[in-house]
Amino acid sequence: MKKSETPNHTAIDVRNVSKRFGEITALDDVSFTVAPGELFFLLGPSGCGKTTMLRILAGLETADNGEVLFDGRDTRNLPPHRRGAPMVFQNYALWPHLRVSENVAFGLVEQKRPGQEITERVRRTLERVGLAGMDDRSPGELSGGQQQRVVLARALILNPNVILLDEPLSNLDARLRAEMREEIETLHGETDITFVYVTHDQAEALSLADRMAVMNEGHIEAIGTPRELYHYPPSVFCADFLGESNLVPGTVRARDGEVLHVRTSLGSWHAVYRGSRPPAAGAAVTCLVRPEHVRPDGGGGNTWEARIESVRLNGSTVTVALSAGDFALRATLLNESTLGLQPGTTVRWRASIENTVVLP
Amino acid sequence: MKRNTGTWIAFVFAVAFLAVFLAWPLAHVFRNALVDEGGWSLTYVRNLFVAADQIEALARTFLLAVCVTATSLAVALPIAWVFARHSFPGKSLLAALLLVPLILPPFVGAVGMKLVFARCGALSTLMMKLDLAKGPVDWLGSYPLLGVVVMEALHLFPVLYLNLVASLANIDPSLEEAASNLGASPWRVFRRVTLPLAWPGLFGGLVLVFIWSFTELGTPLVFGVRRVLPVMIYDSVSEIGTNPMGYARVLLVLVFSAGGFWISKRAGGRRGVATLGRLSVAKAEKPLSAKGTVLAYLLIGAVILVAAVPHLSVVLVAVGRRWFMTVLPEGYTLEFFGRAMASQMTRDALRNSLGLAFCATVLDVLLGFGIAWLCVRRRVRGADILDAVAMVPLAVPGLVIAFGYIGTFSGAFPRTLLDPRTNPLTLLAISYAVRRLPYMLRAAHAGLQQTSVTYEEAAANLGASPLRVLRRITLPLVSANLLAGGILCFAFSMLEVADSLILAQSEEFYPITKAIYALIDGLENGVNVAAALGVWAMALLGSALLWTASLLGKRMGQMFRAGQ
Repeated sequence: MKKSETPNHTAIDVRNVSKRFGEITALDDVSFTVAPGELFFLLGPSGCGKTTMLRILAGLETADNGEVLFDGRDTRNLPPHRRGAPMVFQNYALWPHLRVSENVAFGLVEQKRPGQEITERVRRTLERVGLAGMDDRSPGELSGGQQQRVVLARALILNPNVILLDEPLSNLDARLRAEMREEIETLHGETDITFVYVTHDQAEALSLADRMAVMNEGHIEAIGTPRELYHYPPSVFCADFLGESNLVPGTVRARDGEVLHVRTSLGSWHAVYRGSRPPAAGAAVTCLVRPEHVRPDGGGGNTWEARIESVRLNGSTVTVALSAGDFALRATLLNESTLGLQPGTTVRWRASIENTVVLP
Repeated sequence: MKRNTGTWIAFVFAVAFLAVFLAWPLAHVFRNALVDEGGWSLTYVRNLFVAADQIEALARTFLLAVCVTATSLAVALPIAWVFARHSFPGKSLLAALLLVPLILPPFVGAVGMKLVFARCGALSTLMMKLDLAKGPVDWLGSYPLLGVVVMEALHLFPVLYLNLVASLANIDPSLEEAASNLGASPWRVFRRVTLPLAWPGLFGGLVLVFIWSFTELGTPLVFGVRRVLPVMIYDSVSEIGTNPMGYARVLLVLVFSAGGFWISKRAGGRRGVATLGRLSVAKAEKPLSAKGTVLAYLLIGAVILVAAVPHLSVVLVAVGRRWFMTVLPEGYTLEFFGRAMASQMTRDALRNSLGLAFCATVLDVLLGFGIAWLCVRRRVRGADILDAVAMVPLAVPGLVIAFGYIGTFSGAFPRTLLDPRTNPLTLLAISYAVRRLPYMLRAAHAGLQQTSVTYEEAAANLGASPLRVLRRITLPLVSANLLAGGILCFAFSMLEVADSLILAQSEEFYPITKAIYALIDGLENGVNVAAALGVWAMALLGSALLWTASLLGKRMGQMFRAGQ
């Protein structure tokens, strides 16, 4: 039985997992680790394989190749009901023929806990998720948010090592989603349970994750903390998926430590590179400038001229669409009435060197 | 709400037909069972529960129905579970083969099985050859209900299987996955989640099977089991004018049947929300391993083979020269088919059945389409009630209708075309039509609902009168459904058992099923000739179903679940 390289330091260890469904490759050589107590996200667009990966963790699918280790133990022969990794299902999967208390108590009944203990634990857990007194309701009588909490309670009550969450908030409206996001964060903080959370909503991932893996078409694009991946995305896909991007191609002229001198069609720029293999001189690269880092020129940094195509009010921010030659760029500025930007005028813009990132 | 003459004629005709040929006979039964010299009284009904032999007969009928239901469930449940939850090669072929037992009325199969179960029949001989028994065993003598239970269970388990597969398929697979995920082993998942969620639909199916067995006449009659309720009713037809106990029994059967039917609909309809959110990602079916596939094939193959035994036995009796103390007949011959063709009675029977089935089908097409049209297109007030009343025959056993007809019409219209003692043909055709009307009605409804009303509106807009619209647009568009419904009506009318047995009293008017019954105990090799007729009937019904299946495709299954 193989043990992980750092014994007792990973709660979950996924190694070279692949999975096909007929012609379709759902997962292609996926590997990552999750530390104990982490709130780990699998983020990606629909069809990227994240839900398949989660179901493999739960034992509801079997990987074609590769290994999955829980606490260093191989789970290949472990059937779903013995994995101890309760899952919050996307469509809740609350049993309509059981009341709320019975839904929540389900796993404890399977563990053959004594009745008194079960009743007490159910009561406490329902209180904890804000559903005190709802024991005797049936799931159909609850609102979406309440149903969501029952499903969480159902998993939490078992005090497991790992809880799996499959897009738990996607059925809720925006306001409820924000509320539940905070709740999940609080609940996670109060325990030392490892959470593996699957979502396509990058805002969710960026705000909640300790670490996250960005997935695309069955493989992992990047793993890192939200900050790392947002500011220094390792690929164009990551840059685009995690937020708005202005992508400007160019050629490397010279390198000075972390700073690269890049010749782009918008001008001669200096940009930061934080990857492990700095590009050589002459290499073609892409520079990333996030729209929120584009300002009207005030001196310093990388500058260029661009025509204002449109100015759109979003509420607290203003989105300015720019065009410079063949390029379409965007700037997101705070809404200040003194800006006085007019469509049709040509203005000089800047972005600081730290905020201009070379993508590998 | 357009009211033209056509609508009125259709409405009045339908109401009149149902009033005379459904409501009146049923009312007649109620009246005769519940009224004695002094007015309304429960005397006759109470008598059913008083005398020891009456109670014994009731109990035996009950026991029979329970055994049949339990056996059907035992066969249907594992098969349904395998089908609903797994995928494996050849699945659709096997699924189709499992429905074959529905083709043959158990009455016909019983003819062959009677010989198989006989003291010196095939089963006895096989057991002696395999050293499982020391001497010939008279199965039917030692276990009188055995033949009936086996035949009925083999005929009915597909109904339960279809019902179960539908119930199981309705369960959101994520509900079972969640149970597994939270620690329940596969058996516990079945017990705590699958079974409770499938139960309402399953219960409905069980009640239907129970009621069917409780009211079945043909099979016990062939096996000579006389002390069960349906056969006692059959025996009391001759005393119908004098002894009201027959009516009391019929009333009991009617109440039981209608009550059971109602319970079944309620149970099946109370579908708790099987999923509260979006449909889950997971597929419900898991592919079977190689070992699993082999086991599945063994299980399902065994059931299909056993279910085919009655069909096979009928064929063997029809072509077997001598079948005594051997596992298979000693020689084969076509002489019994020849004798069937030569006999006056069988030729008349064939002619009668063909004519009766044809008339019944025409009647059903007219009525079924008419009522459906009134409901869906014309939306006449009261059409919905008419529709509901026209569905009532589903809950009324043929036994009850036939008995009611004899009582009502021989009393009210003696020595006319409507008097079954003089000439039962009219009433036979009508009884077939009444019994099959619900199926025809559903087929017509489906056809009309699938056809957009805008086609008709466009035709009217371009100058076609209502009758022309009907002829040129509506009927052609629903013709496939009507044809399919018509074929089924025809086929099942050809093999109608209870009405034929009860209403046809003299030989010249025998339909096929009555002729078969008469031949069994008749002259030398009568049972072989009967079997030859049975084979012919099987071939007919089989072809009719194949034809309908090719017309309707997957929607066939709905026909057999018309009761739900």
